[in-house]
Amino acid sequence: MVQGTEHEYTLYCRKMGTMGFDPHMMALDLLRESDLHLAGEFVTNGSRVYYDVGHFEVSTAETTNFHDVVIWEKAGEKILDWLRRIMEEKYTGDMKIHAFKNNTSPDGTSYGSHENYCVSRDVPFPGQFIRDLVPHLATRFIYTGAGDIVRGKYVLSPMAFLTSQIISGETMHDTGILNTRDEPHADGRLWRRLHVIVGDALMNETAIMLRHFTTSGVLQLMEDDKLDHVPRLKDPIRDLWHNVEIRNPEQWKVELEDGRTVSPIDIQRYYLEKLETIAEDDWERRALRLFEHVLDGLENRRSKELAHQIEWLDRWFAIQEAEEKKAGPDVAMMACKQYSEIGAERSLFYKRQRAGLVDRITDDDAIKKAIQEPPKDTRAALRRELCDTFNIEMIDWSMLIVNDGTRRRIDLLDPYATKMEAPYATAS
Amino acid sequence: MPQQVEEKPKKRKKSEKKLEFEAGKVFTPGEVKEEDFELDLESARFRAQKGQGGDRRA
Repeated sequence: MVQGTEHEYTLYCRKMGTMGFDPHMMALDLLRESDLHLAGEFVTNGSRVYYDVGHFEVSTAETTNFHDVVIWEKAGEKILDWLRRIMEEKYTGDMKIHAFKNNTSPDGTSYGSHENYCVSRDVPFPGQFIRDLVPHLATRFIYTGAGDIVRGKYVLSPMAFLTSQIISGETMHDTGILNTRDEPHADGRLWRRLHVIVGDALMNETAIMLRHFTTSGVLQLMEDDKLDHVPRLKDPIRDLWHNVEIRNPEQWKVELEDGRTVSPIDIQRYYLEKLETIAEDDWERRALRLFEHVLDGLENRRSKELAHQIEWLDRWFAIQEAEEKKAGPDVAMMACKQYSEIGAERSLFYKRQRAGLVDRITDDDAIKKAIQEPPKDTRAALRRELCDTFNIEMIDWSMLIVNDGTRRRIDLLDPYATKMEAPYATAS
Repeated sequence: MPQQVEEKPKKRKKSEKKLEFEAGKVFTPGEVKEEDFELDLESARFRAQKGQGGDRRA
């Protein structure tokens, strides 16, 4: 299933402000002067990089699976880290530029990290999504949550904490578990781009992978009409608000419409069982076993072991360690935020990854390659080929105008198309 | 019927890019001194601009 992610990164330097500069804009200027720039807002690896609501935003190239999306997301993170270092060398010297991959500032200001999934238009929206997907999205944060301190409390997932509706079209306020945005960037008669905004900015490769394995798998089950008797949640927002503030799995609870109270682990076990029926290759079977291992671990409270895969647990341990080493009222917040810095020399996450405290699912060589090249099995490869062939006058996810003397428009309406002969890649 | 692009490449030669990506700058954990890790209060207090992250309403 074609899928990708979008992240609003936050940059900070003491020289910022009315008399200073905006590192977000400067990073974009540098990127456009670099050999990673392709055309318009696109870079050579098929991702789109742009300025959005005061942030440096990266939308990954279209990928086809839960493994590749991790690699291209990490590639985007590393591109920004490179730009950050160039800015330090060129402009700020000893004064550091910090880049954060998270969702909130200490005052509670929030910004997003979104997932996109290309889903068949045949799946009725929103009815089947509310019935089949919302129970997953309302409970998956027990293993996909990044952890954060919001309003003075440690929460398992900042974005789940900030969600207040079951369904909504908003992204700045009153956000929903299910978002209704309908911009397919493809043939809208065939596909919907499901925009998931209830997820967190994650550093941990395994957590990102699990999030996409489960969510794209549930969507595939919906397309195949293989979900029946999905647990019906009586009040998902109330339970989400309750569970997101509790670290002890024994105290989590979800009330069902039939009056029973179960654990979010039980809801996820329902999906695990269903995903087992469609796991085909080694990657999928391994991800499935990992998913089962994580749910078992939560049930048996194996926190230290699970912190290798679950980010809210590892961030919690990082904060505890910081507080043991240093006293002060702001130590917890400092450690919480510094965990999400993307610079390897400052990030508590990367410090812990180097120490072997978090599990990886890919390696630096794969990420290095993904910084330069698009995925080979999606429209991103075709878009790159066209950009390498023609002068580009205008470019977007599903359309280019080439300047070969005729200003031809080329539509790329099939996100799976890698060749021009594909039915939705047409030149006219 | 969809048309195929048949022209040979007509792309103008791009002007030389000033910056070349250097993987070594971002994949060098060997340069990190773990003992230098300091928590930074100022950057941690930084207030970002609100983006598309939502806001809880009761």
